[in-house]
Amino acid sequence: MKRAFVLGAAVLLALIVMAVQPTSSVLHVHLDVDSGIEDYGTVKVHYSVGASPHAYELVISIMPVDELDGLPDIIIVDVDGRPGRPPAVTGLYDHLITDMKLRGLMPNVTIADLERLDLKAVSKSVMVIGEAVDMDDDAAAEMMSWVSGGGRLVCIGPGSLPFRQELEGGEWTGREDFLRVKYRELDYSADAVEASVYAKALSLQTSAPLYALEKGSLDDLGAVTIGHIHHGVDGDLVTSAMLPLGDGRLVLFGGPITQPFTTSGDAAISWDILQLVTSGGLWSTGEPEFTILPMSVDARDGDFTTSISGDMVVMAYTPRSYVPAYGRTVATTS
Amino acid sequence: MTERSALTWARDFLCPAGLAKALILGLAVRLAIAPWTSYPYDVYPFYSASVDMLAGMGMYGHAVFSYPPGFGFVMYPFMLLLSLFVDPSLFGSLQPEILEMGAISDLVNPFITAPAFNLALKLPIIIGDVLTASILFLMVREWKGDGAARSAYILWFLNPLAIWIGSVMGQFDMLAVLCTLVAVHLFIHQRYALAGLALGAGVLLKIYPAYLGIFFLLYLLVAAGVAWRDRLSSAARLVAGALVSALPAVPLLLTTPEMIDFIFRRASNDSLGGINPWFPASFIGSLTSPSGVSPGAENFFQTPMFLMLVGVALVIIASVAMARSDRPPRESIIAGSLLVLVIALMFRSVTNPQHLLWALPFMLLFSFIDKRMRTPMFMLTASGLLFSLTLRTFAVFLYPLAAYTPLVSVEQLNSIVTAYFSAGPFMPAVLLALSSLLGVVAMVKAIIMITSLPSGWFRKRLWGARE
Repeated sequence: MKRAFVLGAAVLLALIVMAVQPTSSVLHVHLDVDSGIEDYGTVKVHYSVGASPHAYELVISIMPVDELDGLPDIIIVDVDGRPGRPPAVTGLYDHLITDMKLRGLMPNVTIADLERLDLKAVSKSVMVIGEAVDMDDDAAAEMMSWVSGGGRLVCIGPGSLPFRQELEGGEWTGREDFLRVKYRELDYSADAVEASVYAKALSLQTSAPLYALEKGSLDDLGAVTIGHIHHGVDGDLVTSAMLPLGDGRLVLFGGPITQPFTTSGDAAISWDILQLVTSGGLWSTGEPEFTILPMSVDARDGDFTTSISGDMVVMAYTPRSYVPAYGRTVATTS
Repeated sequence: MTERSALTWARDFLCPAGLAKALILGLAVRLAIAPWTSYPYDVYPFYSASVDMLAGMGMYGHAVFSYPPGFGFVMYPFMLLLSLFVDPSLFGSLQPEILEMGAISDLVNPFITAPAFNLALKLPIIIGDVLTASILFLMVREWKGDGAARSAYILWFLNPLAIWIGSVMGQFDMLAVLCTLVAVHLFIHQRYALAGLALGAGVLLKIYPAYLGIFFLLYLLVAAGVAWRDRLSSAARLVAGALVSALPAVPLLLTTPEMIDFIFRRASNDSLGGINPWFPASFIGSLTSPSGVSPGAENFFQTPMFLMLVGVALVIIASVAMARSDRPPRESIIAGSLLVLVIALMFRSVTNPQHLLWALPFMLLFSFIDKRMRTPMFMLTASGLLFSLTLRTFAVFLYPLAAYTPLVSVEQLNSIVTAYFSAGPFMPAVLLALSSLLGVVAMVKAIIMITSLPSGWFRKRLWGARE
């Protein structure tokens, strides 16, 4: 009896251990793009996806872009110079790595110390600054010219943008060519939130940072809202925005990285960054088009048309973690 | 053992004679509150690990679950069973209204898990509660008799903090506690390989039983009056048992090697506080930085790693001292285990209410050596409960009730939390500090009672030679 019990327990444990092993990374979505044959100026996207264990919703986004290179390296900059890596940095790193692996991508995500960063060696990378940074004007100007030369810089939270002017006593101070960006404490109201087209197309999750960006100051700079817009009597606030700067792009998130991590923390922001990278959002030349497809457990395929032309990135994904589905293709149409 | 006698033994173990009413009462309370309560901040990693495992991505799929894999193994069958009746898409839902609390909502995740999920998550913990009470009964009965064993069972199974942590918060520390108690029971009976196995199983759930491993190992190695060959043989059996228990983790280490990073790096915290002597740091932090964003340590001596190393050094010293004490072996092992676990609690960067469970059953056991230990035990229980309730009020635990029943609304619960913080962070911070202080006093009191420091030390130094 005792032996049978021990044997049964061991077998049960072995079965459980086998069952919880990661067996698949993702439900692959096959995507094909055809230039419209019947309708001039349209593009037909064909998708097909296998059966899944659960019902879910599939989102397909089509992003017009100005570059069709492969996925870039991502560098997370550790700016604080203190012993060890801060949780903001390691949190972003861990989530980016795992989210990329789940999509079957080979992640090339690294953490680099600010003082050892060689900007010339990382010209084609996406750089992420997740904390407030204190940089001298010359170094900040160098980073600004790196972005203008085609770099992609993501800055999270107040103080994270190196080349910024400061508002002191109602007056802007700092170098004239630096950017005037204002953050304000967000008084969240579920009824006053509006998702931008980017946020809907990419299911961006960062929706409630402690400090969000003032939309007015971003509009002056010609920035595009990519996150959520919070309407308020003191003016609208946005959770994230993208700003063309020369040949590059600057993405500003509200912040700082804090809890809850599903709406304001590392999990949400790393998801958003990865969505912007894989969808082509960081190279977009206009707003994306998208469709949301409710999926049953059965395999499914179908078509839909879009009016986007030129270079584009088509991405299929699911915002629900219980059915990981992903597909991506790039296309050029005339 | 015949089939009949095995069943009789199992029945007597799970429901000892004369304790049926306590068992039913304890179970009824737990099962009644489990579905409708949760701590939304802590429960999300369990939700994420569950749906990731069901989707074939493994428990570390989205890098949210940052515990050792043991609890993943435990909860998987329950979640698999649940998924046969409830689609994982219905395991929880986002309640954005919770974010309207602004900065106060930092410790409340707006994702609220469904009652069925909460029950499936907490069922193994409740089973662990029953088994813990039973093993305490067994340990005390063979030592102090039936009457004492019954009081131990009741004091543990109806302990409000034990009920709160498992059945309200949904934290699984109770399962690691069960492993440590089994390990101590087996160690007392000199079944070292099995003790190592139980301890290793505990480490698969939470890291902290490793502190007991240090104590056990040193106890065996420095024990007086035992041949070196026997000492080494006992220690080797302990280590071998612990290594065998690590086997279930090996396949995951191969498929998800980054789990080591998640457990040791992401689980570490660069802030200090909770129910330990470093709570003034969090008290000052909560007044100066409502966002809770830690500025980080200036140097190594301010890091949690340094604090942990000091704790390990003290555990080694305490282990040697307890191994060489002139107490009877059973008392020495119980006292040593309690001392080591209290040191582990004090020298953590953050000590949360669920961590107090690590030491509480050993305090209960020690109270059968010295009944005065009941006072710090009750103080620690009160400290854990008060800390939980003063952190963000009782309302945050009722969000499942609000999200899935019409009995109360999310806005009503929000208003309770907001009212609590309406006069600023000072009063909540003071209440939190007081509950921490209560816990720290209880821990210090426990250490003084175990070690008889400082009076015992002075007595020995000043008058020991004449005695």
